[in-house]
Amino acid sequence: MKLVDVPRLANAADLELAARRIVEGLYAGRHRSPFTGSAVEFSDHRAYQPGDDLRAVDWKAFARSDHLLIRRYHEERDLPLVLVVDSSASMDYGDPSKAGWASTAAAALALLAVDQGDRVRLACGAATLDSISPEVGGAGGVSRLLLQLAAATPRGPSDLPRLLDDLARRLERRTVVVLISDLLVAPATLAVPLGALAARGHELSAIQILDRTEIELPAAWGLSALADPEGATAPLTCDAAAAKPGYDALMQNHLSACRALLASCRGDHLLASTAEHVADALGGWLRRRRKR
Amino acid sequence: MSFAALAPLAFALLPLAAAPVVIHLLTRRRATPRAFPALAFLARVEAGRASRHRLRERAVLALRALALICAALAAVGLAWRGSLAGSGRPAVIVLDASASMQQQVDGATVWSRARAAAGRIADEYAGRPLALVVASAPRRATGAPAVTHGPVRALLADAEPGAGDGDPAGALAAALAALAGPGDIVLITDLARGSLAGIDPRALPTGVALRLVDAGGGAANCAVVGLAAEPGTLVAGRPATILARVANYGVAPATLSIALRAGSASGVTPLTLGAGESAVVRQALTLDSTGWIAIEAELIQARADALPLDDRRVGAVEVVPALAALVVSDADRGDPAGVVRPLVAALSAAGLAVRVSDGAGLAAELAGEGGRLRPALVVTAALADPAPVRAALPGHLDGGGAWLQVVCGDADAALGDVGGIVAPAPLGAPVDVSAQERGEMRLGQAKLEHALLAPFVGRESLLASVAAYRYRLTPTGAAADAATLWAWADGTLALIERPARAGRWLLLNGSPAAADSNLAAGEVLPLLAERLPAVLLPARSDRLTRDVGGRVPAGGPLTDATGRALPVVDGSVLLDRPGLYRAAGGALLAAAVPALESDLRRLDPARLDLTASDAASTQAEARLAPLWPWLLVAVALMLGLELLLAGGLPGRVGGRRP
Repeated sequence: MKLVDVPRLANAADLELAARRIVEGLYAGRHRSPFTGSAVEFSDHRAYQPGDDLRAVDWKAFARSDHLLIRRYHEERDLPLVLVVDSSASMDYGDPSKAGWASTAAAALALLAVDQGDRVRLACGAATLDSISPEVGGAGGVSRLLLQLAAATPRGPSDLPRLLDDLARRLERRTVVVLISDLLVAPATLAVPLGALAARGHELSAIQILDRTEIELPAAWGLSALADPEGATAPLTCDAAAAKPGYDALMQNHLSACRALLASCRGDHLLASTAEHVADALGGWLRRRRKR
Repeated sequence: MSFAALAPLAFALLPLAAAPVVIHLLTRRRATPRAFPALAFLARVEAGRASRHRLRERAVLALRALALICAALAAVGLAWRGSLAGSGRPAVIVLDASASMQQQVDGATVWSRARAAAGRIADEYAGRPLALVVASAPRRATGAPAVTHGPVRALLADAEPGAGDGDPAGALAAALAALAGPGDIVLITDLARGSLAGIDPRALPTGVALRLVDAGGGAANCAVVGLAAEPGTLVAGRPATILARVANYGVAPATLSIALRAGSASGVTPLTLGAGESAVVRQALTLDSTGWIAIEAELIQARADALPLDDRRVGAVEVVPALAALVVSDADRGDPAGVVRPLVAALSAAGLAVRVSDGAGLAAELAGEGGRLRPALVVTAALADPAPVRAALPGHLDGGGAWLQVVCGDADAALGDVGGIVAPAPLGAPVDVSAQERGEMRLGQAKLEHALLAPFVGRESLLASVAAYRYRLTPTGAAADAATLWAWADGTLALIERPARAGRWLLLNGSPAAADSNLAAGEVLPLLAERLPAVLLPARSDRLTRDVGGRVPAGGPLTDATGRALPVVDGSVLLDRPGLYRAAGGALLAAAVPALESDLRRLDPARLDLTASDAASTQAEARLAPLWPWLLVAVALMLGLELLLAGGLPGRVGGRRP
């Protein structure tokens, strides 16, 4: 039986506690930030040794000193992590709720990043960007982020394209952007804002969190009068068993489109179910990132 | 077009049609309210499916309701009464031209109304094939239905009602022949008692509708409906009784006088008849001439009734100078112990002019050739060769003559089939009556009520020896209507009397060989002979007058009172008018209005399997066509369709998911 690692009460202390447990689990034997950017800066030279990659030879230095020298670099470690958490009304769904799962995951990622010396920003919003924190680091900064996360109550309709536009305007330099959302929008509407972020050098990742009833419509629901929490779609009465085949196929197409969209932006995509343990979902995802 | 319900009470089932909807509303599943963020995706899936589902659900409900409605209507026995005028099918108008159509109602004849109604119906069927059959004697028709109504109009203008019954069944058959397939027959009639005689609307072929148009009628009428004379063979110089049956078909009592005439003799009898009553008026008249004479009954009324045509009825009868009997026998006429002498003695004592023949020239004898009196009674006894008698007897019986068959031997018995009965058992030893079942003996006493046996009543010495004797002469089959059947206790004599052809037949089974024969002793025969003229030659009312419209066999043309000769067709002549007709041989024939035509009281249209409408109206109505079989088929089809549609629904409409 899997222990649920998402706190029921959305207060900062519970959130931190849950996130800390997750991070401890993720930490074991790892000393390198999973959010390190691909940008690098020159460090020094060393003498060429047989077997070194000739492309790493500093030919200009060879010309000056007549010694084969290999250029050495160190990674650009101060690329900040920006966690974008969707707080639209649709996130307040499921047990545990998508919003709770998203907050827990965001808190865990923030802790993980800060613990490894990275700086973190947190952006929350539904139709627009409601709040975006400054870059924080250290335990105190994380506490502020957790307070901000706990205060982000899901409400209102979602407008992810606009939110991402706002975000792009607010980011002054290159970052690693992790969007945590249910992505229940037409993928095509996200192509422009995500493309713009990618074009500015931001590294993109999306954690798409959905309830399992959203991934596969339960036939056992039977005749149901369904209402959209965001009010964007008119209420509908239907027989779930009859609608299930069509819905499931449509949802799979949507998920595939989301994956393709992120891939087109050189980002990666994680589909998570609220029934899944946050640590398991993030652990697998982080491992995949490190291998890239 | 209209509908009729054979079982209107079943309309109470109609509210059942709402049952599927009510059941659906009461038991339909309640939708569980839920929030669902991905509703937009579901909405795309459901956009077409939900509307199809709703449509199918409503179709299923409608089918169930319709099926129940159809079932209820089938239980009601719904029938269609379609309008014929708009159908465009061929039609034949059958116009009743019987005697009753001449009745006067409110100053006009029903015939004039019927003819006007026929004209209106021809207008109604304008542009459609139409034919006309006038039900008169002789029948007239235009042939097959034609779009051009000229022949119909021409015949309508020329047609007149006859004095016969119009042969409605024959006219209907002619109309069916003219249609030669589906179509409408419009019968215009006065709905008098005889107007639909022989017509069974249920026997009409499929596709043929009968529409009845009431031309009105039902007027009060008094008529002479029967004429007879007693005895059947009238003898000059002897009193004869003329009988006339008079009927009052009105709704009030009628005081009448009836004049009865026979030759030059006549008499008048006053009479009062209650509404719907009839009575027989008798008048004894002595006829002073021989040969064919007319007898007549005429109604003398204070005021004219609706149909004067039937107030006078004429008959024709031949008066003979004496009632003749012909004894045909091969036995010794002089033998005092034989059969001929006691027969001749008894018949002569009864006033008959008796001749004796051995069978030679029998046909000429029976025809009265050579100026001889035509015998009214033929007696056969102790024949050696029955062949000449067998050949001549049928003609005698067909002419209304009587035949006394005295069975003295097998040759006599072999003639039994001429009268239409099996030969009696062979003569033999006397039968011990005491050995018979006593229960069957009662028949002998019962038969004493027969008029022929009246002289035996009170003669205890004779009756002591009378016993029923069914053992030897049990009438069966064609002889089951024998009126008298008994035998003497010694088994020597049996008696049977019954109609034979148009005449009468008396069988006397005796044994002259027996020493104690009652026949030989001369005790029985005189008593029987006394009543022979009255019993064997009864009133022959059917011979005095024939119905107008009927056909009579004739060897040559008949001539009516105006000298008009009626042609012979296929060996018979059609009597088309009431009155006297004279044949080539001088014989007279009388024709009168059929008795049923005088009864103008109307049939109740409501009791017919037809719908009658007033002649003044052109409202077309047809016989009922049952719709319930089609409704049941529709129910079956709808339930099948319902199964198909409901099978595709997520749950049975109105039911619960399995």
